[in-house]
Formats: sequence, structure tokens, C-alpha cells
Amino acid sequence: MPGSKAERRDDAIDRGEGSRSALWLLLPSATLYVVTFVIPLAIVIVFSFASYRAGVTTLDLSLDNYRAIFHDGVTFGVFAHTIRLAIVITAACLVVGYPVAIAMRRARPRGRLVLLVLIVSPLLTSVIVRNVAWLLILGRTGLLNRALLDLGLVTAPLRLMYNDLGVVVAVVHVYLSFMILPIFASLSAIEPSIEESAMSLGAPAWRTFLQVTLPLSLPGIVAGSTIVFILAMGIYLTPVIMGGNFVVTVPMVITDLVHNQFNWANASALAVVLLFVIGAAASALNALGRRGRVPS
Amino acid sequence: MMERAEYRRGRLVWFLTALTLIFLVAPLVVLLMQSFTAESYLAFPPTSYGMRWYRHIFSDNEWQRAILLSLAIAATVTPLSLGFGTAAALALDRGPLRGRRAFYTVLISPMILPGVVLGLGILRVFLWLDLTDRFIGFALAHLTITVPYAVITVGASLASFDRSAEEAARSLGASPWRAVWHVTLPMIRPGLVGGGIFAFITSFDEFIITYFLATYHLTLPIQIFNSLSYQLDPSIAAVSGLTIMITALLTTVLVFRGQVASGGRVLR
Amino acid sequence: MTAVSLEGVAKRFGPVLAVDGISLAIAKGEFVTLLGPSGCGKTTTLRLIAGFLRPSEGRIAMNGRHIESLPPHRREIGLVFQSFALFPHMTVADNVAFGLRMRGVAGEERRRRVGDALDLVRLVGLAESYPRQLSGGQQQRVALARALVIRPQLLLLDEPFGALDPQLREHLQQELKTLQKKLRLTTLFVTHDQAEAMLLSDRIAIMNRGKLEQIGWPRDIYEQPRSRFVAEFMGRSNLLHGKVTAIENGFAQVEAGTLTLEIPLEKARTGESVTLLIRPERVRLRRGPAVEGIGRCGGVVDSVFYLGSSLTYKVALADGTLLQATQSNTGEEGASGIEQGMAVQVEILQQACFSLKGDEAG
Repeated sequence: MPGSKAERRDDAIDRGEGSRSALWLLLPSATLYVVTFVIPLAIVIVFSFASYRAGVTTLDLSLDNYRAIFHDGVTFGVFAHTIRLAIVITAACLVVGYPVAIAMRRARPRGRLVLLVLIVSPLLTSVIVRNVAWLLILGRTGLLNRALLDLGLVTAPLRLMYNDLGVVVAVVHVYLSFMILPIFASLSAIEPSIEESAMSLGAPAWRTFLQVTLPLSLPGIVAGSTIVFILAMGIYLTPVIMGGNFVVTVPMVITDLVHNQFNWANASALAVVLLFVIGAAASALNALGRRGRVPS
Repeated sequence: MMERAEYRRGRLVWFLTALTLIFLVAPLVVLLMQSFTAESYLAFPPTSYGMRWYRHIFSDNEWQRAILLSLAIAATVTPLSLGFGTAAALALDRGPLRGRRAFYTVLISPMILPGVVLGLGILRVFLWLDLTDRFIGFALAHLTITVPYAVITVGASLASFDRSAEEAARSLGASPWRAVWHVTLPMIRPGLVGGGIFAFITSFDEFIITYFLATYHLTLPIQIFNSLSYQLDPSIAAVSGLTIMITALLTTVLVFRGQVASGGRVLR
Repeated sequence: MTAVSLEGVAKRFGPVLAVDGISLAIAKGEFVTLLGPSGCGKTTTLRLIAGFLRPSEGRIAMNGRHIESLPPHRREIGLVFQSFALFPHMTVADNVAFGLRMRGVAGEERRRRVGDALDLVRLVGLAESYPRQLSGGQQQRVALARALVIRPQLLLLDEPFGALDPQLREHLQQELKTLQKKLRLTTLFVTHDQAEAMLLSDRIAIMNRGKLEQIGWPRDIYEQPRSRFVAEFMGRSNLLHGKVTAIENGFAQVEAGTLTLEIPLEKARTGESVTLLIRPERVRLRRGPAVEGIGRCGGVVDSVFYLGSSLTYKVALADGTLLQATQSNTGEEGASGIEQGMAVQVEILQQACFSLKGDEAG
């Protein structure tokens, strides 16, 4: 009988899939993840309903923490600010990164390799190291200000740090490669003959780009933006170092609540809402990507 | 007519790319140069050069301990994450089709979700298990965020793997798992090496989750962070320079290994 | 003695029936080719025999033992792929030794057998090289040696020469044939190349859309195809439709347009429609005035194709039918003197005609 259980199992075996026996290989990772991922996440959710009073957290079932987030102007403001920062960072990565992806596509294999190494280089250093480097460049007595002063372009050092600008610059620095690589992959999948057809039909280069290349690279744009947005929502170290006390993000608040106040309740609620925002953004971007996708 | 426009746009793209590349690389170059200063304060560009601060961090107890701890954790976690990750990647590649997507998403989630959230949860659980501020605690936490890299790189290698060599092995008398061990795994070595290097670097550079867990035993990133407030001298630059050099060395290995193993077809 | 037998073997992939009830018996030491166009199910059949697929129906037996539920590594088969499938991370010697390693053959015996296998395929001196250092032909020889060294009961080859140049291909075809005869190895060969099949096989099994159309000696299949598909797959053919006008002593007179042909045709009735198959090499052309008669008529040469070793002519008959005629390029007046536009005498030998069954005539 076609489609029977035995037949479907045989079909799977035919594809080289060892069905049951292969799944045992998931056991090590599964065990690890339960202890260090699944349970911790569950705990966070549980604690988001807990109560915090005078330094003590008690397990409870209250929505106070969530209410606090939405009714407390300060906390809500921090959330809004974090989201705004993440959007700016994502947009900046997109604008700056797209030309690089194009360049990578046009380069010969050798050149491509060099580009890849250079693009990925910030990734391979620690967050902290990168921020130290930016400190040296953007600080009041840093490289950029000293150069501007020496050249007489400004009379006083510019405030390039301890504000949103410093944070955005430092974060874009590291997350740029996460935007460039998916876009490059998407561009590479476009057959040159498609663009050539457009041009032979009379579309100048810029129009071919806008109406053919750009739309076809949408999957890469969506993938890159999703990754960068999610990562940008989670920044802690960079705003601490580059923003001083002037830039506050949700991860910073969470860390402070736990480290200094042992306030698990509010911290967990913030974490859950953070995850929600990330999930919503990812779904929205995914839907956007699917709408613009060319039927294959 | 069209060619000229194309040419102009081509130059624009390359110009922008060059600017961006400078943007990407300059800070690291600045840092490296700064690390070789012979002065006792941070000032760029250095007026004199020397190995003074590298010698300092290697003789300073606190820095030594931090460097060794980070190296030890990374060295322990890397082979483990490769083992766990390769096993998981094989399970996904050879297992039933149903649920594959879901499993994959779960497996790579620790890499994508904010470290803050993970740190929060892991800290709470490890407090109960008495694993905070201990080597094994750090290792387990790092393992969780490095396994995704192995799953991704090994998974990609397996997906593009031509099974006929494996089938040839099976026809010659190798059972399915023997065939994987003798033929498939050696043939996807670039994926394994890549995953291992990403794992090492990720663990070595990890900050936020370790920050939640550590109190007295500090890894290198945490040590650097602390010293930003009370010890702003070129030793920070030297230690940062050290991490850059370690990861640069590993990346070069990765790139050359990858090129050689796939016959130079990495980026066609 | 039957080495391999398939009984009613079928394979379904979801709604698609890739192999539809194949029954086949291969004798020990026989060279059988599965021939057919892409998608006909020949590779699927090979993979069923190798053990990478399980049959949806039917049984497969090797030397009397049923093997459908046996995994590949327990069937005594040797497999050669079109892509060679060599292990890139092992030397030639290690590649060839792999099967022996799996069987626990070690040391001196292993070395000796590897050396013998390499000698057999004429690849001496390359034992320590890596596959990427070898040419395509050399790599295929390694693949062959690797399959042969384990002394398999059955050798399976899946379009092994498809990736090689024509000259190299011919060379290796000859070598394979010689080797196979010498070792008396039961062999199943899969290809879509009809010439290759004719050259190598003791018997050819033609497949189409999952079914076995015809199996037999190369000569029988070429000269007595049982269906239009087989006829057209095995070579070029002229198809003429006609009606039986008279029957006498097992011979029938068929009127097909301008031509009247007499062919052996039993169990036919007057007035019945038939389709006749005539191979181009059996159509004779002669310069000169046309003489009408049985198997004879006049025509005008429509086009001439010079193919080097032969010439192909398209001749238009009085009723508009285009007949294809092929002749060897012997350089003689009679053949090479024929040019486009010329009026010629068309002659079809009596034994050259062959009728196709009504329903398969298309």
C-alpha cells in the first residue's frame, strides 16, 4: 500500500537516512542544552512572574513586573531607545555593507578571499578589544580628535563618544560582516545573464540594479537584517564602554538588576519582553522577505 | 555609453568598499600599534616603540591567570563542541526529515539569542547546582554557545557532500557508520577545522555569560573590562594585541587549510 | 547457472513508479547491459541490486540467496560510478585496499592483492599517488581495481565512461571487455549509449519508463525489435505504413504508398494495416532509370550528408515519403556519384523489411 508507514520508512532509508539510529547522535547536545539552555530559559520565564520586595525575590504568579515595564516611563523609554538604536544600527549596516557585498561579487576569487578576511577580521577579536580600540580612536584625546585639532578643522574636541554615535559606530564595526555575507550569498545566486538580459533590453545600469538586482537580493537583505537586528538588541558591553552612563540599553538594565540588586523578578520580565520583541521583529522581517520573494 | 556609466558606478562601489575596509581594519591596526608603545600612558601615535607592555602582562600575575584561564577553557571546549556539534549535524543530515528544521533552529539558538538572557538563566541554574565561578561551569556555558558553530559548519559541509564516495565504501563492505568514519568525516575536514576555530575564538572572547558567572576567577575579557576603570594603561592595549594575534593566527590557519583542502575552490 | 535474478521487482517513489515489474536473470560470467534513455529506471534498478534502495515489490536473488533485505556492505558486489567516487584523502593503494581492509585482510596478502589488481588494470607505479594527481582514465581504472580486488560476485557499472573523451572511452571499453572475459565476472552495465551497449554486451535489456521492453542478443534486438521504441532507440529507421494486399506461403504483399514490398508476415489478413521498419543501410540507391517492381521504385535525392565513413541520403518518393538511405563510403562510382536532385533507383531487399506489431507501431 503506497504511503504506508513501512514504505515511508523505506523511502527514508533509501535517501541514506538511518532514521532512528541517527537520532541517538543528538543525545549529547540534547542533554547539554536541557541543562544550559532549555531549563535556564524556562527559569527566566518563571521568574518573570515572581515578586521582588526589599531585596528578596519570591516565586509568585504576578504580572507586576510586566506592568512595570509598560507603565514605568523610564523602563519603557529604555526599551524604546534600545529598539531605536537597533534599527539605526541595522540600517547603517545595510547601507554601508551593500556596496561591499557588490564588490565581493565582482572580485576575482583571490580578491574575494582578501575581502572576506578583512570583513571578518573584527569578528575574530573580542568585543572588549574592539571597544578598547574605538576608545583610542573616538575619545576626547583619541586619534580622530587629535587629527582634527591638528589639522585645524575644529577648535574643540568633538563628542564622538559617550553618546549614541559612538555606540552605533562601534557596533556597526563588528556586525557589518553579518550583513555583508548573507547579501553576498544572495547576490551570487543571481545569474549574470538575468541582469545582462535587462541591460540588453534597454535598462541602464542603475535601473537594472534597482529593478532587477536589488529585489532579487531581498532574501539576503532580510537574512542579514534579521541577524543584525537580533544581535543589536542584545548589546551590553559596547554601550557600557562607548556610551558611559549616557546610553542605556535593556541588556544593561537586566545585568544591573541581577548583579547589583539581585532583582531576578524584574530582570526576567525584561528578558522575556526582549525575547518577544526580537521574535516579533524576526517574524515581521521574515514575512516581508516572503512577500518579496520571486516564485521559483 | 552604457559602459562609461557602468565604469563610473564600478569605481563608486570600489571607493565605498575601500572606505569601509579602512573603517573595519583601522581600529585593530591602531590597537596593535598602540600595544607596542614604550610610553607609560595611552597616546596615539606612540612616540617610541618597544615590547615593554607585552613583557609586563606576561609577568603580571593577574594578567597571567586570566590569559591561562581563557586559553584553558577554550582548549577544553573546542574539541568537545566539535564532537557534540558533528554528532548533531550527522543526526540532522541522516535522520528523519520531519522535525529537522525545528531541531536545527533549537541547536543554533544559543548563538543567536542575546547573551544577557542566557547569562541570566544559566546563572540562576548554576547557583542551584553550585557551578558558578568554577572551571566546569564556564566550560559548560561556553560549550553551549560554541556547539552551534560546529553544527552550522559541519552541517554545511555535509549538505554539499557527494555521497557516491560513501556509497562506494559501503559497497566495499563498510557498514554505514564505518563508511562515515573512514570516508565522510575525512572528506569534510575543512568544515570540521572551521567549526573548531570558530568555537575556540568564541570561547576565548566570550564576555557576558562569563561575567554573570564569575566572581574571583576572571577570564581575559573580564579582566580587561575591569581594568578599563582602574588601570587605563597600555597593558590593555598589549593584552588586546595578544588576543588579536592569537585569533589572526587561527584565522590564517583556517583560510589556508580551507583553500588547500578544497583545491582552492572556496570562494568561486 | 543463474548468478543474479530479479523477479517482478518494482520501486515506487511516492506516486512515481520508477521501476515497474522487472524480471531478469543474469547467468554466471555473463555481461548484461541495461540500456535506455534517462529516466527509464535503469539506474534505479542498479541501485536496487546494489542495495541502496529497497524494492517496493518483488525479489532479488544472488546465487540462489534472496538479498532484498541485505544491506550493501553484505552483498558481494563491486560498484563503479561515472564520477569515479574515489576517496580523495587516500592514496591509490589505500583506495584499492579499502575493501580488503573492511574484510580484515591485512599485511602481505593485502599488499599482494592490491598490486595484482593494479596490474590487472594496467596502473603500475601509481600506487602512492593521490586521485587528484591522476587523469580521468587513470582514476576510472583505480575505481575498477578497487571494485575487482575484493573478488565480487557481481560487478555493477553505472555509466562509468560517460565522463571520458570518446577515444579514451573506446580504449577503456575494450579493456573492460577483455578483463571481464578473462575473469569470467558476472557484470551488469548501465548506459544510454546504444553503441556502447552493442559493443560490450552478451545480452542487452532495453528499458523504457520503468518497464523492460526487450531483452536479447544485440543482433536480435537490432534486427528484430519488438516495438517502435526499441527500433528507434537502437538505430535509425524508416517507418512505412501500409496495407496487406495479398498473402501467399507466409509472405505478404504490402502496399505502402509508392512502394510495394513483400515480406514474411504470418498470421496477417488481407486489408490489415501494418507498419514496416526498414533500416537505412538496407536501402540501396542506384543511378539510372527507375524500374518499378516489388521493393523497387524511383525517387529524387532530396539531400546528401557526408559523414566521413558513410553517406546518408534522403530520397523523396513519388508519394512524398522521405526515405533514409545510408551507404559506406567505399569510393566506388555507384555510391559516391549520387548528388542532390538526382533521380535514382531505390531498391529495398526483401529480407530487409520487418513489421512491427500493430499496437506498438504508433
